[in-house]
Amino acid sequence: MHESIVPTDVLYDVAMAVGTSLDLKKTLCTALQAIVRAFECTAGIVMLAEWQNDRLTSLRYECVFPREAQTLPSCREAAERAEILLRGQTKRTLALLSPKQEQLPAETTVYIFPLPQYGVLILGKQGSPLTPTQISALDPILHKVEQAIDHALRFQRLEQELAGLQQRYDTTSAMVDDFLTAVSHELRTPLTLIMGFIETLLDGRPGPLTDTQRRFLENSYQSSDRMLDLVDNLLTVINFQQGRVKLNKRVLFPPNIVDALAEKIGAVAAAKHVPFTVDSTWVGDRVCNCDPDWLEKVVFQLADNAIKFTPPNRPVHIESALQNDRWVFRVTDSGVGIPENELPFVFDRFYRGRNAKNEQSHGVGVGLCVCKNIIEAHGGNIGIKNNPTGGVTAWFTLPVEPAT
Amino acid sequence: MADRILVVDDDPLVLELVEYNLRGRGYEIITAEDGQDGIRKFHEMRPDLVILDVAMPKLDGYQVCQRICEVSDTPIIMLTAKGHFEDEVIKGLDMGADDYIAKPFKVGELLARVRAALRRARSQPANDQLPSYHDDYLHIDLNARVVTCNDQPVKLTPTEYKLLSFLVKNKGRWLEFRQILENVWGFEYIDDIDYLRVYIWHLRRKLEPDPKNPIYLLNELNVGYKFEPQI
Repeated sequence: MHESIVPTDVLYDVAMAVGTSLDLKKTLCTALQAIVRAFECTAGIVMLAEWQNDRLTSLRYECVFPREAQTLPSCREAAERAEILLRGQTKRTLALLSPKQEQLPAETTVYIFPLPQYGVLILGKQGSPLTPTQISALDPILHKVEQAIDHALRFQRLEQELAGLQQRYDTTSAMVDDFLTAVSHELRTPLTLIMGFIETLLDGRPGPLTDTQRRFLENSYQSSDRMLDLVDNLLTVINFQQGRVKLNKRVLFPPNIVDALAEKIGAVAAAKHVPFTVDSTWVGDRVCNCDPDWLEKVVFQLADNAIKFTPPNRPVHIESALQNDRWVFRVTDSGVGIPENELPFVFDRFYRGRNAKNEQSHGVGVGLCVCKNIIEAHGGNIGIKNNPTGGVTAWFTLPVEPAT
Repeated sequence: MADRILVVDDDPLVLELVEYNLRGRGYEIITAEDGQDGIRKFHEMRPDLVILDVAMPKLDGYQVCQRICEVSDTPIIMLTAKGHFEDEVIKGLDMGADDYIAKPFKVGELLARVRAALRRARSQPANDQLPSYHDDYLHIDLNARVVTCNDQPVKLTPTEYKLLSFLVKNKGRWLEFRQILENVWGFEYIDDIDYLRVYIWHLRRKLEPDPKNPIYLLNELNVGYKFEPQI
């Protein structure tokens, strides 16, 4: 009957174990269990060895089946024999070693199969020993076990490498954040002075200015102001990401925010000859609990972006409404659009799309990142998509609540 | 006589900028380049207002602020590079500062703040109008400038006195944020609800039996605050 054992079943079980898990212990235990059961053994052990400069430095139980067998004297004895066998071997000679068979008391036969590179698989059998056919049938199965160990070890190494990389990445991002914070702070003081002295000159007190002098000073002031905006945005992103921003939430009526900004946005649009329309409807008395300063920043940023990427005489439209118990805000432009493959990254820090770079627009790619941080801190969602007819629609939604 | 303003900042260019603009408006300016020098000049020259940079070597702005507040009621405006972060602002107000301006500041804004601070310092309410309030736990006698809780005297800063006076004078009535800000701080401040929150929190800590569950200084979201008599 034993002769009729088809190792295919066992091979299949072992192959399954190898294929379904990369956890070393789990894989070996499943494979060992299949082998022990199929060959009607009393117990099985897998021992893994470590070598240093061809010297065996450790040999440990990786897995024993059935688990309680570990306490049996015969099991310990089998392990000792395996150790004696391995001690004389190097990684290379282990591959040439053929299986050893030893007799223990109580009619127990112990089979020690080398697993080249890794260690040994030991089977103990009481009563009738394994037949030569069975032993040779084990060959491909053991090969599978070796593969399993190989895969699992490689996976372990990859995991370690990945953890190392993650750690390096974390350290580097923390350094970048610290650097940016320091630089931004350091830039603020010189900016105070540049802008302060320009303001003082424009005030006329130090002496009268010609029209050209005045215009040049105003240009300098505007550029400094833009630089300040960049610095502030950088700091904002870092502070949001490090959880240092506290929201001063107040109960607000969303149409008020949009109406308050419509004029400012309109001025930006007019300067670029972009026709700009607002459709702000709000039925009911739902309100939004949010930090108005931050929210205004988002509304303005999204609108400003839309205008920036829209050529003159093409429309930009804002829609703000209560929909499905959320405040839904949309800005639709008729600009160049965003390539589909860039869309997933537009909210990332320092990401600037190809079109953004081509537009020769100013910025370092933190505007949308700031928006995302603000909206998410308020429990909302934000997104951007290409319109079928051209241009993009940037949107956010925020939770609302009944007015009390 | 011109108001005398002490400006303390370790950056000589900031000193020059502030000095030029304030002197041009008729103020008398004294400058100091570090905290120690600032304290020395404060005692020597007795200014009417102090403008104080937060980040300075040796003695920082907070320490200078604390030392000045221990010995006088002179208003202090803090210059902070981190004005966006409430912690810094609150720390300054905690130390007794009257106001803060974030760098980079606009010269116009600084001038407005200076005017408001000086005006506040001068406008001590006429004594005969001051109200008082007494119950078993809390005694407020604003004429004598004495406040006690459980018979223990409580020390209040000038701004805290002002805020409390305004609330007690209108006891039992809801006062809007802007109304309080304009009356206690000045019209330039009507949007600075944060100041108000910080000061109310201070007053609650000093006066309320349980500051987390106030019974005297009540707040209504979107309305304002009121002083609620317990008798």
